[in-house]
Amino acid sequence: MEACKGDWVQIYRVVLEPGERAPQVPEDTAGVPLEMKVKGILVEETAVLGDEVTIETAAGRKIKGKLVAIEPPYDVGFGPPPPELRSVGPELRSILAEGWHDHEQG
Amino acid sequence: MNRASDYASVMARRGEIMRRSVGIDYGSFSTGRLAFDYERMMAETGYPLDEVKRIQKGSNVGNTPLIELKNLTALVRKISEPGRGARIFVKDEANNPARSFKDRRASLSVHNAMMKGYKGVVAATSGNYGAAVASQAARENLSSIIVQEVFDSRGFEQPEIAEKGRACEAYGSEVLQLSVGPELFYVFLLVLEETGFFNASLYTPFSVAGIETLGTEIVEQARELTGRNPDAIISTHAGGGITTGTARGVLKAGSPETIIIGASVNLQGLHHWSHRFRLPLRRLARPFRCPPERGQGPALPRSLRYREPGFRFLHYRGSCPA
Repeated sequence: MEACKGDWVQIYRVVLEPGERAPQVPEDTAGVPLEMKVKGILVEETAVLGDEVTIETAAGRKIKGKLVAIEPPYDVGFGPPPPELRSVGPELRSILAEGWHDHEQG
Repeated sequence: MNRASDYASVMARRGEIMRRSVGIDYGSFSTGRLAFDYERMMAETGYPLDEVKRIQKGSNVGNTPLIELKNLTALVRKISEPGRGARIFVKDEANNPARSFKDRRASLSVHNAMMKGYKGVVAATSGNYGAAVASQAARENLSSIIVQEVFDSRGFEQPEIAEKGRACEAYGSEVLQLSVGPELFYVFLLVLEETGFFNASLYTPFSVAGIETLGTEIVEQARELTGRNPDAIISTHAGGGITTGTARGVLKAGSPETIIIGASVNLQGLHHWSHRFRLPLRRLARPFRCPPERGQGPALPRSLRYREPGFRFLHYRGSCPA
């Protein structure tokens, strides 16, 4: 897939390699890089996923990184409704209607 | 200007970057080896309450409704001993422009940035504060850069944080999405240094002063609705900002007998800087040592600070889902 100049894209770059990270991070975290993703307008004429590109961000800064998405969607989800919550409303309404002790016994 | 950008070098320039980006020399409020004159800092660099109210009114922030929760009060009375069960009200802070109380903090920071002639603002935040700064910056036609801690080392994005990033981009911000780690602050400093933008941090006096109206409004609205001061105010307590600001505002409204209760989630076992999200929750921290005015929940030092005569702080230690 090809992106053209002016397309809204996302780039990726490693900010700190393992070994360059803050001294206070736990050992497992020290072993992975600090990574960054940021979106903006593609500066180059054309590019494909994986290319090193430049973007201009909403704040007008130029940032370089690897092209990882073109017109990236907002597709994060919040998952299914927790089943525990399904019974809460009816339960509270029955307490309101009958009283706590009636509810416990009934 | 090419200055060293490794972690240690940037952190060593921290004081210099902060002075330039906030316009406050925090060192001037330190006395001796340990003491920090917080009240003098607030008095000299913050805004007086009336000015805060005027600024917030001008940016459509605050004056949110206090709504009586009659069903919940009735429910509590059904399950309580006779004579117990206070009237319960909720302060509907989702009625702010960017949908949270954080607009109160952002409105002051962004106003200050605009008045001092900064071209843009930067905030390191993974929650509602980013959306608030982005929204207020858009209002003042300033650029904004939001630095977020969003995903873990497997690329898993914490949904609530990703959603805040979407909101910030919708308001016109540049959003730097980082993997998990304390180096969020390092990136924040680098961005401040490169751009010369204003540091719209949660920890500036402007930001703290902005929350005080929440406390004063609650007291004033309670008086109007019930004819008396509130007996107790419960606030969520993660970083502690909402609790701090509310407590200060309640004092300024002349209701020192009101009990302030900070409700925190018990996140024992979570490491603050793990490279992996362990829970599908917003990753918060377990306590760590910090100065009294900053910290992550449950941030005991702040609670202690306001534990003055007439004040009481409780930490509700709820549990998180396994």
